[in-house]
Amino acid sequence: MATSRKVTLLSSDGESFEVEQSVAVESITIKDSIEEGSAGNPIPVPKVNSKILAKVIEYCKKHVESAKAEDRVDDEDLVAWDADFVKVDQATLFDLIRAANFLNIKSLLDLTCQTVADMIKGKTPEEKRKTFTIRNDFTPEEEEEVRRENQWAFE
Amino acid sequence: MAETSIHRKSSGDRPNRTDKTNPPLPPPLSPRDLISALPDAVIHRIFSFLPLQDVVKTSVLSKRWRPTWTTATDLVFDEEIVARRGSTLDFSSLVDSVLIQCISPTVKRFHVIRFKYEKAHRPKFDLWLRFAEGRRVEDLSLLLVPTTEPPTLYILPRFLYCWSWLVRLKVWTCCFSLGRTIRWPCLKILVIAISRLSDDILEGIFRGCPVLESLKLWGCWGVKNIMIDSTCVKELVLFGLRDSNIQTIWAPHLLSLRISGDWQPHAMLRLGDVSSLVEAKLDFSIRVLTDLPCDEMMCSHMLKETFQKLCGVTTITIGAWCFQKLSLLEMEGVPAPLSICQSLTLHVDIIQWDLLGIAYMLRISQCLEKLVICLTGLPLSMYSLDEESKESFNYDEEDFLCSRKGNFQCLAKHLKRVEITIDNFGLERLLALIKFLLGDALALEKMIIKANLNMGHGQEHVRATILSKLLVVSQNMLSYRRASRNAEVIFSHSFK
Repeated sequence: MATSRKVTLLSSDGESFEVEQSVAVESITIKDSIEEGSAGNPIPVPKVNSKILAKVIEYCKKHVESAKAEDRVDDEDLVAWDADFVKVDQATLFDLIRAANFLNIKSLLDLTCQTVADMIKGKTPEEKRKTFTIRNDFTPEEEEEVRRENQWAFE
Repeated sequence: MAETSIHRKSSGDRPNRTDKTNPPLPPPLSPRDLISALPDAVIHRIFSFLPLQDVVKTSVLSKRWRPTWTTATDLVFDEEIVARRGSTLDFSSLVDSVLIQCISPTVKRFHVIRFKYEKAHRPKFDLWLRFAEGRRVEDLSLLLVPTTEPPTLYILPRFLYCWSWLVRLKVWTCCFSLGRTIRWPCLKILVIAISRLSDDILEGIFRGCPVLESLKLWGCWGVKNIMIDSTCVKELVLFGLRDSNIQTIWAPHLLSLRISGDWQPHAMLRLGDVSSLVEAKLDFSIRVLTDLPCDEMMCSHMLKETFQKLCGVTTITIGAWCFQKLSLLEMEGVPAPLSICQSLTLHVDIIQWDLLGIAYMLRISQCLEKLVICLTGLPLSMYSLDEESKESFNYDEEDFLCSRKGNFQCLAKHLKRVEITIDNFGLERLLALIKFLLGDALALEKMIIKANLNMGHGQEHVRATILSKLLVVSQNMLSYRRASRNAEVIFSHSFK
């Protein structure tokens, strides 16, 4: 199998990205469509705009390259690289989550979900609402009722 | 109230992509509220990284969030949820109340962790497992903590033995019943700890789990012989405790074997056919209760035999206790078959005679490409030598190594990478060895020295002293003659 084969990915806003096939198949969605032969060339990636697609490709490239390297020292470097990769604003982070979900890239989905989980962990509901700009549409009585249902969690 | 519902109805006309399981999402209440707009499946994935109380707390964020946690696909009940709160809520009631509210048709992960099990809990657990069965749990963990001595074991209910979708199973302090047919056609990972087993039960497990890949037995008793015929089982981990008494292991298709923990001297663990083994980790110890020399001899003998069986293994890790025994073998001049080991990790103490052991390993591992040495830093006082032997270990390290120059074939051709991990004070002890390796390894590409420096509380002032000492030593080291032109020496340190 020619690993240096390249494929072209077309973002939702019409920009094309040429990548190695080994990088593109980090996405199970793309891998499946290539294997089924149903992928055109370029392969359209709806729902993912060029800014996000560029980042996703950057992630996949880095991970494919590190998998090849034998150095175990790079493992720690990769973790640090990942941590930097997700230091983005919320909008980009959630776009990355959606893209990883649609493209079915498990490691990226896990990384981004873990990041959001870290933003949620240990916070009070008020803090969470503030972080994510969630509007509280409960009346005080309703909110009290919800808290009572699972009192142990709110103690 | 009426206003908001009208508001919803009109915006319900907006085309919303819906899948069959989720009702159409109401529009997010704030345009910057991106998280609420995520599909439930993704939110559940985020939940899988959070402890249960954070998941449940999301119910109060807004109306959209109220029911979301009840369809969560991961239920992890850790006893510390209750332990941390001073409340009188007990663990069982908590689990009950959560299970009643959980309405998801599938729960992928169901874990009960650190539950102090008593006999009276049995019906409760049977009920919870019925729940898990109904939700087609794939990943089940019952990590129960024994409360009595000898431990009261939870007898696994009959219906558990034929969960056809189970992929991962971890049980502690449980008991398998004889005579039940086990049918887990999807099971890949099985961990059994602090349980009573038998050769028959184990055979039944292997028969009923055709795709089993990994088996870990921690502190189990009752098993004497492990015979693994299946070509799927790749990994076996045995951790000895209490009366663990395994005598033989026969697994011709096994790829990875690890033996750790404390074993009884009469265990006489013997390896049968393990010809496919690629990776082996021996970090166990045998507690010799008597001073009788025959007990010591039995241990050495067993270790020597075990080690001989591992000559075809390419990646080997040896723990401190095993390594010391092997060093003894070197001292006694026991001839050893050559090993094709390519990657070797050794856990050593800072005792003088470990150099002998290292020399022994270098001698027999003629294809060695990677050597990793971890200094444990704790003198193993369990191991004591008589005065006579101590004398023979009184040697000068540099002399010893110099006399071995050019003796090790791996150094001449193969050794590419050396990693040494030390703690606060270990570096000086290894200087002679580092000098020797640098001077003799012709193919060396990288030597990495990692110092994990342990600072106790209130010892920050000591930091500076240790660091400066390390710097001096490392500078000396960098000036040693290198046999390989490409050799890179990397020195890193971190404080804990």
